[in-house]
Amino acid sequence: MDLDKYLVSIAAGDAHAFGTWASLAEEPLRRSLRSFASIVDTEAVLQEGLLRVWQVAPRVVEDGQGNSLLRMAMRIVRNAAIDAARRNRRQISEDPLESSPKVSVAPVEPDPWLREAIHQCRELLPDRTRLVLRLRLEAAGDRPDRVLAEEADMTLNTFLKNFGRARRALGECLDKKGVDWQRGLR
Amino acid sequence: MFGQERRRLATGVEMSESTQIEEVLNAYRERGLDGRIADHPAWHDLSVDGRIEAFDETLRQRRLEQALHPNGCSTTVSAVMARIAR
Repeated sequence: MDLDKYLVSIAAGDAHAFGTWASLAEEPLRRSLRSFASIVDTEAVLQEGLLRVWQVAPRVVEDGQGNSLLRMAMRIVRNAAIDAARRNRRQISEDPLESSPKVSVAPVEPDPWLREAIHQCRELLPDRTRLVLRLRLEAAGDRPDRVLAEEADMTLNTFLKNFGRARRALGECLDKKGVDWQRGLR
Repeated sequence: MFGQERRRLATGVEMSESTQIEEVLNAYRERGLDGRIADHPAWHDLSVDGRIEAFDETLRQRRLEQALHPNGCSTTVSAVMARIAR
């Protein structure tokens, strides 16, 4: 799949097109940061990198090799990671660009069967863990856990423990269903 | 294996490393004073192994979030799109 089909719209300022592109590009971009995982907060780096991609997209020119914007995004997030490591005064003992395994630039497409299986498994969760999972998803990265815990009428510690239980229960349920939901991640 | 070591946070609350990893999995990040998206404070409290674990668990969690979202957006992408819209 060549995500450059979204490039013209993104360059024209279509945020919806960028959201679709970012959803398909997120996993390969995140995986490209694995060698930085112990020295920078890769979540913050990835978000910062995606914002930069949005800003530079109007100047990106397709080079005919496919996924031009995704390949540029990989360079942007990795440079952002190096900058963050320097700000954290972390020694980069070896060049992460050299030491990291080759990461595919292939975007990850949605899996309708996985979606259905997760919905089924979520319904099996106990009330409190299902509530915590729902609050985290609905917050969409826009609220800290301290606030979500108050909404759930739980202490922060209890909220986070319930979130961990929800994740583990979902994973176990998917495994029992024979869903290969961790494909390529192990 | 995580969860054995308990750490006292700046707030005085004790929290195990496995619980702190759950906190780092949240895509919520504040803006730093320099305008950049700031690190999650709990990330700095994690051990090296804990940070690697947080990275791997985030990959898994975002895949589940994408599958659950009607438009396939993880909380990471949702957070970025919210910043673009502001």
